[in-house]
Order: sequence, then C-alpha cells, then structure tokens
Amino acid sequence: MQDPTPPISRRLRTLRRRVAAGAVATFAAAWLAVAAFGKGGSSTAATTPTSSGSSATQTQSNYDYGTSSDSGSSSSGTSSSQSSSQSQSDHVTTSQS
Amino acid sequence: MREHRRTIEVFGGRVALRAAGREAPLALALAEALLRRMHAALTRFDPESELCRLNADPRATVPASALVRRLAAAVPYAGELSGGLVDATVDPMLEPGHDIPDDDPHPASPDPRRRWASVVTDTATVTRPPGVALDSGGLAKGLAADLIADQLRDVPSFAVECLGDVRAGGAHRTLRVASPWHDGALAELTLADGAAATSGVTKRGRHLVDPGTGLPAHTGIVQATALAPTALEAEVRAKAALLAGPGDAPDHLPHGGVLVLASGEIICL
Repeated sequence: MQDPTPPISRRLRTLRRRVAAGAVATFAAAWLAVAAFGKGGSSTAATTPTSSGSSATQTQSNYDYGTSSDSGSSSSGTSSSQSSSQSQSDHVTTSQS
Repeated sequence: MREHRRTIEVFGGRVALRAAGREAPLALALAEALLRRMHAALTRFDPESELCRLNADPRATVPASALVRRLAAAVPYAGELSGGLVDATVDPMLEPGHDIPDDDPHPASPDPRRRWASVVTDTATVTRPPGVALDSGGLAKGLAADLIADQLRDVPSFAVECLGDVRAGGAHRTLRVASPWHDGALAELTLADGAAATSGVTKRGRHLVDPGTGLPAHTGIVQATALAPTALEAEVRAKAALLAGPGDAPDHLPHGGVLVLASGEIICL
C-alpha cells in the first residue's frame, strides 16, 4: 500500500515552485507599478502646478514651471530637488545668474 | 507629450530639468546625480572640492577626475573662442572694499600673458603653471547643461535651465530673455536644438572682470544674450560680447543674440 504522505523531496519541490511563482508575481506587479508611474506621473503634482508646493519632497524652493529666474540663493551648496510631471510647456528662460 | 520635471538646488542656484518619454524619470535621476557630482567637484566655495585642491596644488601636473578635466579643457577653449576676453584663470573674487572705477565705458581687453593657453589636459591629468587657478564660474554652468543634454539625448524632448543658461532639444520652444531690470521678459526668440546664455552686470553688480586690468569691466553693455549650438559656447559668447562693448559685441554673436546697452537700447541680432 502506498504511503499517502508525499515524500519530502516532492514537498520541497512544491514549496520551491510556490516561492518562485510568488517572486515572479511580485516582480511583475512591481514592474507594472513602476511602468504606470513613469508613464503617467504623479497626478497630484500634475494637476496642481502652483507654487504652494504640494509635493512631499519639497524642502527649499517652489516648483519652477517653465521659468528660471534669478533666484539669488546662497552658495552653500546644499541641494534639494523636486520632481513632477505635467504637459509640455513650450518656453524656457535665459537670465543673468 | 507630458514632460517630467526635476528642480535641483546646486551651484548656488536653481537647475530645472525637463524631459519627455518613458525613460525620462530615470534619465532625470541620472542627470541630478551628475549635477551633484559636478557641484561637489567644481565648487569654489568648498576648500575640499577637487577644483580647490587642484588650484592649491603646487605641482604643475595634477591627476584629475574626468569632470575637472572637462572644466580645465574648457578654459583654453573659452580663451581661444573669445580672443582672450573670457579668461577663466583670472580670479573673479575681488578684494573686499575694492574700489570700482567710475570711468567712462570702454571695451575690456585680454590679458597679454594668455595664461588660459597654458592649461593642458590629457586622459588623466591637468597641467598648468603652479599658482594659476581655474575659476569654474560660468563655464561650469554651460558645461553642466551640455553634459546633462548629452545624458538626455535619447528622450524625445528635453530642456535644461541651469542658472540662466539654457540647453534644449527635440522640440521648438519659446526662449524668453529676462529683462536686466525687472522680472519680466525682454524679448522672445525661438529655440529648437541649441542653447542660450545670458551675462550681465545688473543683478550682481559689476562682477565681470576685465582681464587686461583685473578690474570690474565697464563696457557700456549691461546684458548680453547669446545663442549657440552648445551651452558652453553660448556662455562664452555672451560674456565675450558683454566684455567687448557695443562696437565689437556683434562679432561674438554669430548665431544671434540680444544686447542691452546701458542707455536702455535693445539690439536683437
């Protein structure tokens, strides 16, 4: 009579398959999330292009939507950054630094 | 097409980056990393920066990173292109309390020593006479814009606004030339694949040095904007045009530009 309990090797094989399938599914979900974010951008930042700074990453200055005015900030060298996504504007500005 | 944006505070000012396409977020992140590396290496305000250590090094030939070598290579380029007027071996840090002469406007002149011509780079080192310091000044801004543009060359469209210097590609854009006196625009031009830079003396005072005298330049031009294929060239041409004075400035703007004279007259080339 055959033992109803699968041998340990078969149980390990099943476990490995489930772990691998889980890893693949997690990777696919993460990839899709990144792809969607990269294509669409942050909807909050995209729909509120104001200087109020809705982004949580804002630390020093407001968004600069298409202009580069003379900021006159210090030369301490500290750096901050914000990122957002919005429809393409067609102007840029050159100015004295 | 949507453009992703990133604004970074470096070089004592603001750099705004824009890029379109699916690869834009990664490209902008890489561009920011490059900017921060450039700032760390080329700032004149940190004695531990690589540029400051190079300037303080008593050896004639000094090993240098690729970024510092790129800046050093821009020094003779700027000198040659401007006929010696844009001399990055001239110390722009005037002595405190230095009297600014209130003389009649006159064109700046090159330093007859032509120290900029003695700066040589190879694949690993920078060679210059000991004691000759390199000023990152405006050259670093133009260089940064060009290096970022090189990183963004594969995206459908991009724009780099680097402390007043602009480099853009992939789309036609309106280039606004800021007024030297107020926040508005002075003129609007069209920019597709190319660059623009503006040099002036109304926002930070007469900080541009006449290489021939070592004193603040007073040429009769208060702002010069240059168009060029690259931001580095535009930066050099704008500064050269301002230093050359109204008579010779157009010769330094072969790709076009805008001059603002002290009298208020605006000349579009």
